[in-house]
Amino acid sequence: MTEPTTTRAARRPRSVAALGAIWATLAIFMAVLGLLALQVAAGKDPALRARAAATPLPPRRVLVRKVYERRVIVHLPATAPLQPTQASQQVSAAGGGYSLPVTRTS
Amino acid sequence: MSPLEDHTFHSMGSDIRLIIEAPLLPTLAPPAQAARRERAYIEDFAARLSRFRAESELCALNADPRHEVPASLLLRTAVASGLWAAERSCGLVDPTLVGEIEAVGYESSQDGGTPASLCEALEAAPPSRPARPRGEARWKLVEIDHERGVIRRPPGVRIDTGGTGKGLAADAVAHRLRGYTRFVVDCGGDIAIGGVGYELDPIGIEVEHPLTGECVHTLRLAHGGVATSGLNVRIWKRPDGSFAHHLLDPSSGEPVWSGLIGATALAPSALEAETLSKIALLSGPQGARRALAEHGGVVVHNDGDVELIGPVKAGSSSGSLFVGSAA
Repeated sequence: MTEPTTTRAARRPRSVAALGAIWATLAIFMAVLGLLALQVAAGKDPALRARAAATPLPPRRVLVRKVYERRVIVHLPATAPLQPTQASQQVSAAGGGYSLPVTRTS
Repeated sequence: MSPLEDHTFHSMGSDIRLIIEAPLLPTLAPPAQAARRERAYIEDFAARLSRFRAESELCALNADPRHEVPASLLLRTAVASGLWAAERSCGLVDPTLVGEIEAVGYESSQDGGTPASLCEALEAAPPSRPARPRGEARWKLVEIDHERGVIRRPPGVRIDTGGTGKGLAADAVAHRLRGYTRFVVDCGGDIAIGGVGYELDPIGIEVEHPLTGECVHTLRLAHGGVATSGLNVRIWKRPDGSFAHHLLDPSSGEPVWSGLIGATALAPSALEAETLSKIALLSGPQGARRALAEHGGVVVHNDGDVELIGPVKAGSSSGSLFVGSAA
């Protein structure tokens, strides 16, 4: 029959401790928030400062190459096409284009 | 569509044909220009090594009374090729039978002359028998010293490079044309083939029948050499009514009647093909089957029958030399 009395006595100091912890947390949060707000307001944003502190990349080199191409255009007078010699001919290689060689007695 | 040059001219007592396709490198001469250059090379080759031109280097060597005679690189190479053929044939293809060939009537060029009838010659021919090497091999007395640039032989031993000259010329020109995609060097039927193009798409070579002139077989080659020896072109009638031709039995010094009238051989080079075709024709049917067994060939018997030998008969390849045939 003494159990309810014991439970009520233990709960009272716990609720007081929980409220204290909540208030302490809120106080610390507000303090840090205020500190950061002051820094941002003073132009000392930690994120911006870290980016600015990084080593700048060297400038990219661009090589400009000029290519000069010389084209010689020779205008020849119009003449009759060259005729192959009697024993010589130029033909297309596609599909052979020539009679097969013959091995024979010589 | 790439241009090619198909150039035919007359030299070395035969028709020479050059087929040259586009160069592999732009720095090489175009096919037409290359053909003109190689024609000049062959004509110079023929002039310097002809047995029938008194001013040739070969005639100068044969007439020289010294034991040791200075000789150009071309002459040394040509004589070396003749000696190689003699060695390869165990003396059957003998380059020192100049006196013998003159004795049977082949003293001057027969270029342009009409050959005697082979059929009549066969009717009058003695019984067939294979040729044999000469007992006293004169060709073994010939030495070539490339370091000193001389040829040594007993004075009076004369040399004829005609038996191997066309094959050597075909190989030499083929070597000079190795920078072209496809080329055929046909020195009177002794043919060298090369170029990466023919490795991919082999060329057909027709074999001509010595009696009918018809194509009896078509060989397909990616590279290497083909040559034919026969009795139907350099054949004549002697004053006594008998017939003679230019392929001699070294043992007798007389024209050989072996039972064959034509032999075509395949080989890695035109020089070897020419040597093998002569071995085959001089050896008769049995010897020809042995000589042509490795690389293949075609022989024509006295009665005109055609026989395929080795890889040509089997229709399969021998290494990568022979790639097929079509009857």
